[in-house]
Amino acid sequence: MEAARLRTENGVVISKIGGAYLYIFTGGEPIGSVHAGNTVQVDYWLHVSGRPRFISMDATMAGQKFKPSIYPGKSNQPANWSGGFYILSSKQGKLDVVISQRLWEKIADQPTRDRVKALQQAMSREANLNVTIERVKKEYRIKSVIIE
Amino acid sequence: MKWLIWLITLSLSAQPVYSWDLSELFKPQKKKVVQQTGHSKKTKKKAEPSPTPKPKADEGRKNYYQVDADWMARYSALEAIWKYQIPEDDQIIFEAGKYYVPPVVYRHYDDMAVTPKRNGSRAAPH
Repeated sequence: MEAARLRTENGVVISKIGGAYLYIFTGGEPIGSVHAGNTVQVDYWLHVSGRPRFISMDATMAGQKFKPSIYPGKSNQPANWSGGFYILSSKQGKLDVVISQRLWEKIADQPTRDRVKALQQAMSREANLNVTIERVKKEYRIKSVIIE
Repeated sequence: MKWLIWLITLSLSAQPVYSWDLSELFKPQKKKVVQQTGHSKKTKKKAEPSPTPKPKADEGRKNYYQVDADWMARYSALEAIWKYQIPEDDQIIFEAGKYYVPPVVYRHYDDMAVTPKRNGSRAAPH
């Protein structure tokens, strides 16, 4: 049993309970990224009003040394991104949870583009993210992603 | 002298001897009777249910409640707003993707959520 540790960094409340990390956003329009090692990156751009929003990282299978870091502020977020979550795992090419620029270019008609944009905005305003991290061959990988 | 004797006689006659009731003083003592006390037949009051609804206690973990990540996030946000952590936070368990909290932690959430902030609004992030 480990202690629940709570701290605030740049307006983000970080809670560590056992092997779980909770990044909690209580208001405003937070934008930034959470890095797990050199391989996993979760970008966020949220519109928080009312109840707090969060990114949960289950790292019980990632080992004791796992320590994710949060970097608030804009980084290399993709173009045509209207918010929500942008999940990358450099060692799992097929797992990236993102509407890529290539796909964006394939969407020719404006109504469909508007719908995709609306979906991203809905995610930005409503969704929370649960990510399960595992350690495979000294590298962190995403085991599951649940957007709820 | 006659007057003096007459005055003494008059004062004695004002409180006659026959009016002194000495029977109470010389009557035999009453026996003390020990009053036997029986067991009270009052039934114990049942504990009243808590005013706030609680989540179901987890069967595997006695006296622990299972909560989801959303609840945990709200709890952590409230603790950060109030800057009020409790020692029982150390007893929160995360296991197999689920959070388990002791009842004290659950009540702490209720207290923080219900208590209005200084500006009059409630701290509860709904």
